[in-house]
Amino acid sequence: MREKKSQDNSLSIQKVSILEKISSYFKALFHKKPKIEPQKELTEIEKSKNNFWKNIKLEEKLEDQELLELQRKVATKEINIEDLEIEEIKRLTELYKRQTERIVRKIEEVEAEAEIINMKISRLKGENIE
Amino acid sequence: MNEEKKLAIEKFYEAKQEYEGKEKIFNEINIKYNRANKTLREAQNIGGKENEGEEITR
Repeated sequence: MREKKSQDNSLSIQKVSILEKISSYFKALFHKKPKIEPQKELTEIEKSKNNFWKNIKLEEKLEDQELLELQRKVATKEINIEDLEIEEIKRLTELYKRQTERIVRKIEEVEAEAEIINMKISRLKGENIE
Repeated sequence: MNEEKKLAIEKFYEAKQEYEGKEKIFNEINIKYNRANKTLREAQNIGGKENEGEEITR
């Protein structure tokens, strides 16, 4: 009698287990994968990235072309710095400072972009392993 | 040459040197960025052979 009762209990446990399996199978079958939101986030990053380079190019364009030409001539030693007026030397110094400030921003931007690219590479590698 | 001009030239060279140092760093970082970008393109398998070695000029 006790043996029969024990067998009945075992059967009911098996039934529950089978029902759970079926239930989780259908859940997995009809479960929609959530849309990947980070993709949207990446598009926003792309936009701000493009704006950054546009602004930098604009700033570079707004520099005094004659001053840039003078800078080039001094750099190639076509003109000796000592032959320039103090005011011209000071203007060239300020130009270098502005260019340094811009290039520091460029470094930060490229580093940030490289980080995103590395994230994408890691994600792709992860997907390939799966 | 007067002292004021000497000082101005000194400051000019300091600014120039700083810029050139940063420019060197930028060029190195840009090379690394282009390499990473190339790896990504290859991983994505976009563009095929046509885009191989394509670099982005900043």
